[in-house]
Amino acid sequence: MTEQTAVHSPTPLERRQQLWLWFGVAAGPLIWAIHLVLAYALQSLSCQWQFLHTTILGMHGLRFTLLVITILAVLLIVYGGVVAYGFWRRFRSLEYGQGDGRREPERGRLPFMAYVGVAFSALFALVTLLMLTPILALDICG
Amino acid sequence: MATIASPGETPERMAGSPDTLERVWQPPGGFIGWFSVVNHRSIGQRYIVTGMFFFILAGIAGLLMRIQLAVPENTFLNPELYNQLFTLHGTTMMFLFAVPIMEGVGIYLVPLMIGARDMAFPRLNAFGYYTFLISGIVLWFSLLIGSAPDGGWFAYVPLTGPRFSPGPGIDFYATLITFLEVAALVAAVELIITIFKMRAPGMSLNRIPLFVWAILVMAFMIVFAMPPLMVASIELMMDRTVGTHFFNPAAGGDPLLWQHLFWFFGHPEVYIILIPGLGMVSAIVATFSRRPFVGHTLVVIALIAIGFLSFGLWVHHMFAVGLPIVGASFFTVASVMIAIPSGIQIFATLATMWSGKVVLKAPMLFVLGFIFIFVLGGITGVMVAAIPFDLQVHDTYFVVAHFHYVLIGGAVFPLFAGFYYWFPKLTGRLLDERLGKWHFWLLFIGFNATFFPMHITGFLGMPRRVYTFLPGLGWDLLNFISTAATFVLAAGIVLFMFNVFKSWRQGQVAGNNPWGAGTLEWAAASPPAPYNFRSTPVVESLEPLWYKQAHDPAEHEIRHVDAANETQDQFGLQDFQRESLGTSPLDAAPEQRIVLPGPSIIPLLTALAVAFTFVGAMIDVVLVPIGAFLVFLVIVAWHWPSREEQAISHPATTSPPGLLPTSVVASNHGSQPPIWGGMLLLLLIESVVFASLISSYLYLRSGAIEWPLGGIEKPDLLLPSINVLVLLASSIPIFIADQGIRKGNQTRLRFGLIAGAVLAIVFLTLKYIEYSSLDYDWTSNAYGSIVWTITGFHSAHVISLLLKTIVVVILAFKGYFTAERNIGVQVNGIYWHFVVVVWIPLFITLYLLPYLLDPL
Amino acid sequence: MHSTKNLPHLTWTQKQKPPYRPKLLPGGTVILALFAAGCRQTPINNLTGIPSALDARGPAAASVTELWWIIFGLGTAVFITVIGLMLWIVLRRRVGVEETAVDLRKARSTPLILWGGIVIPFVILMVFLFFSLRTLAFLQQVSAAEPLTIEITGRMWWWEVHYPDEGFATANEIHIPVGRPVQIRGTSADVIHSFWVPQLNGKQDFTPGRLDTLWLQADEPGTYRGLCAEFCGLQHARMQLIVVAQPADQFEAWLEQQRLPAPEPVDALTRRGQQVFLGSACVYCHTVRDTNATGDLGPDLTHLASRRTLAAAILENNPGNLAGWIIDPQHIKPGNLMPPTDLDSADLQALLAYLNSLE
Repeated sequence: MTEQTAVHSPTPLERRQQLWLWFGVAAGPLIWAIHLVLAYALQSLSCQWQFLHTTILGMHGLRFTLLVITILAVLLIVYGGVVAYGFWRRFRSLEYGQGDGRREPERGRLPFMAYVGVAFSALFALVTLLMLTPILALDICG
Repeated sequence: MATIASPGETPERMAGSPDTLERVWQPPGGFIGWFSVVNHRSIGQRYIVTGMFFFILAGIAGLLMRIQLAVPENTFLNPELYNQLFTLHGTTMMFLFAVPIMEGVGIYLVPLMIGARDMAFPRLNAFGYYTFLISGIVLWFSLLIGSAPDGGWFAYVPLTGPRFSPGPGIDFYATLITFLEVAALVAAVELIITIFKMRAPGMSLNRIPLFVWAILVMAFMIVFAMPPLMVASIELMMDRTVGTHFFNPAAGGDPLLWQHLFWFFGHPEVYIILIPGLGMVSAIVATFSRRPFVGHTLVVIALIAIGFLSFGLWVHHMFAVGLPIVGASFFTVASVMIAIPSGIQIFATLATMWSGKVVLKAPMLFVLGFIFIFVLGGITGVMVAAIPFDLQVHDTYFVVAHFHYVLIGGAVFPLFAGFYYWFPKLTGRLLDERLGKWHFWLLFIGFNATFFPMHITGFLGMPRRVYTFLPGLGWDLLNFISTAATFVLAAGIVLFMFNVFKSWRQGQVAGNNPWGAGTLEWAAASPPAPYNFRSTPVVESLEPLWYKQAHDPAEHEIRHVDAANETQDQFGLQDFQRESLGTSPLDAAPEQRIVLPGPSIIPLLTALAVAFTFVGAMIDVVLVPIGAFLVFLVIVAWHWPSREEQAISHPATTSPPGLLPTSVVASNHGSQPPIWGGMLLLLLIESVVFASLISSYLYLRSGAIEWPLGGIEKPDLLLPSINVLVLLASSIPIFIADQGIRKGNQTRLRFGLIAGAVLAIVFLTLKYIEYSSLDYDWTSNAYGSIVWTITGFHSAHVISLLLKTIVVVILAFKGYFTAERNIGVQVNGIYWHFVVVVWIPLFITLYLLPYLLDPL
Repeated sequence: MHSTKNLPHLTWTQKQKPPYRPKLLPGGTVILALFAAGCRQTPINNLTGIPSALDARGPAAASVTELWWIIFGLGTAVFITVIGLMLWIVLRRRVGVEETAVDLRKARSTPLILWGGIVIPFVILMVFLFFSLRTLAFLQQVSAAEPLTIEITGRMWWWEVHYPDEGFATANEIHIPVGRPVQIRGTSADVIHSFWVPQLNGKQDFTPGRLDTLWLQADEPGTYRGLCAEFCGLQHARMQLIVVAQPADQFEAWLEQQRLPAPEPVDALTRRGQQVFLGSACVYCHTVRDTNATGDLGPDLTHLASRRTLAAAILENNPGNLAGWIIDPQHIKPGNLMPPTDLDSADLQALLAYLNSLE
């Protein structure tokens, strides 16, 4: 019954770093979701109520705004990916997958989370980036 | 590691010796006993059997529809009946078969796969099942009285509104959908908390089996998808019964609001059904390729990514509505990109098969059938993401073909694969292999011959949901082929049922692990003992049984998990009450002994009371408050501690040295009990509900030229602002009460609770004064409808908070709470603060937005 | 930034295929005896071809057909590759024995996931997205300086058609000039309907409280079937329409004729028929211009006899079907608003003669 104490080994990550790790994991999907809802609402409302219809830098104002917020969103997601990648480099040498689970379960879990974060960022950055194609290729209020 | 049984001993229990553990976990017998069972495997089995029953019913409805469409101008069914049948077919398949059966399989398997003895909230589990059962029965009862819903499972307004569907049919739909969502949400909460809090030690996030991941993703999707539908169906009910105007364009409402809310649920719904199927496939492929699943982490990522992306697709059901093209195209992008995680899933399956040797047993055949059908359905799915193409095939038989490929391929084939795979775990016997192969080929050929021609029928212009069609349009032969093949499909299902009945009695005896699989459920007996595992297993890899085998060839199983001659659990779980090990959410480190409740009839009574409320809403609105009061009474009875539990010396409250603390007191020892997580999930669900209501408000506002509508004055700000302060202030005494009892201070506890309650009453009184002076109500126009609904809904929360607090106050005066035993106060406090805080965004929406958004 | 995209061989104004000749069967020769047994009408389509989305007769539908054949090619290639791979893997090293040992070595097939599940699909999806957006841009580009506008209102379960510039109304039959984009402006008077003429363009929902537009253009003369695609209640299946695309001169002639007031009765029988009509409940729901029949719940009957179909393109418009429809409209289309009419044989004959005179 004494061995259970081993399980309560303190985490190698401080609280703040844990938050950063979670940021790395969640940035992709969350920012994508927020951006999608925002961009969709902005586009519909702008075309319905005729605002943002000025020309900015030779571009339709709405097109320009959507372009800017999309690029911002992609950059944020990529930043999340960079954070996750940092953790991945730090943890990847830890044993992954097998081993005595009770002693140091985090040895597998931390690189796992970092890996998930990198992959999420890549996927959701792509999805967000591709939203530029309709923004640039189509009649913006057609 | 604790004691391990010596090799060679059989897991049979010693005859005659009283086995406390067995007795404590045994489900009760007898008639009343049957309704009191709370064990997860019993509940899971009931979900599966009931789900299959509804599958057969809805299948028969489908068969009848196909007979009607066999030839043009057929008169086999009249249009009323046809429309009722296709509505019931869709509604039943989605809400009464697919979601519940996936949840049922999860409820049955998840505790076994993660090495737990039961789920986190067994009574809630039973309650969810009865809710599901009652709503299913009532829905089909409506067909018997000839007024089944006939507006389609998607129930588009205004067709389903009070003007065009005055009969009771749609009332059945709107009420029972809302009711069923309760069941789905309850099971989702149950599954999430079980997976996060009750995994065997060592099962850190990276070692969770794919099936459990799939169930987790499904459950979270339910948490986010169901509340918007709930809001939509309640709004529909209110439009129909109390005269609100949410969907009435003549009074500022908008039929598209329904579509947005419905598809925000409806698209994830498809993936809610699909994802557990993917999980089953992963488990089966690994076993039958004799290989750990290749690309495990990638597939976890794929499952979660599908979960997220599926919420970004809802508008692709609305391309034909005439929404702005660029905005709609955003959803094309998401719909296209969801093919990437799906592709990962398929190719990980292929890679696993490639790296191993494939054993072609019946489960594996169904997996291959799944790949064939699902890939085809996926390809047509990407196609319909292209707006121009979708505008041609939308609402035609092409789409009917597409989603049957996705749903039957993605859910029903994996489900059958799962039945063949896990049947021995449920019954101890294998399903007949030869019949299984016949079953597969009949189903596979019948399915493809039924649904493949529909792609072409759709191209040739045949719309969905038509009860008949003209001859001479080129649709005759294709429809006839589809109908004929349906019978082959049905024969496959009949053969399967025969196989189940036959094998249940005379099937080959399976043993614990007939397939030589690697995950924990195969370490338990077949069927498992009522407590699943005598001693909590420890997990060192993704496939603990294989890992064990490789590292210690003498041990072909993790013996200690089931050996009856274990006298004790290795983590000190006690035998005299139901206990299961509680572990930390990320790393599954042992933290507490979760004390689980035993059999009880109260879940059934609660389900009946809730059913009374909902069915009452259909008959007369007056019955709703009566029902709500009944619900309150049974919930109090549910949570009221028994005489023994009230004693301070109750074993749940005390932690002997050397043992982990129980869940009742765990929060004082650095870990949170399941109820704490359950409360957080409830708050999450509530947040989604409130967010859906705010979205409804914003959507209605965005379509209106003047706001408030119809010359209604902008809201007065003075009284409401004071009231916000009153409500915010009420949190302070509640906080004091919580902090007080943690130090054992009874006076602060009692004073704080009462002071909080008084402030809440003041809030409600001011609210009443404010609203009774308004010159409009919910029947005035859509503005009135949404304002009164949001306020009313929040006020109902405050009232329920008050009722709940009164119960806590009574217990406090009885001296039930102590410095150790205070989780009830904590949980009540969390809910209180939530109801207070959520009023801030609601206040901004209702009172400030009419001013802020004015320049728009 | 924004460039107008053109499908090189498709434009909104060009004709390309040889004229399509609909096979019209001789429809007028029906004996009166048939409508004594009016219940025995059997609806059949002999007016239009198959309303196939792949048999495109206009630039919009043609661009989608072209898109379809591209994505069909991509999809087929993907399907055959994946299923071929699967079968090869399964049949390659099949083992019949269950007691195969588990292979716990590190698998080397991860590249299959990387390439097969991520990289190649991504490339294919980008190709798909490109063609999809190109078609969309083409569809967005349509406009006409002076578009011919037709207003359509979906009703349970028929289509009310207005030619606002011409000032007349008809039902369930739209005439359009060949080779010219026509703007359809649609809404609904009751529930959501969806307007769809597969051979000309994709569908557009008509939602109450909204006004949506759709462009139609036929490049060949012909009669095309349209359907209601959104479930709209009991008789959703029986809510169809036909689009008649005509060369400009014929179209003008049709407009000319529709603009005329209803023909006055010329003989005793039609005069009596008019009296029967105007003296019956018909007038509460139907309009015949310049008479006191001004109801607006049912189709405008001013030029009923010039229309080719009855009951929203379900029945061919001939005396037999018309008689059967009048006697018992609930038989062929249960639940529609029109009640059965109880007339003696002589009145019925007269009414039919009158209605058939409304050319």
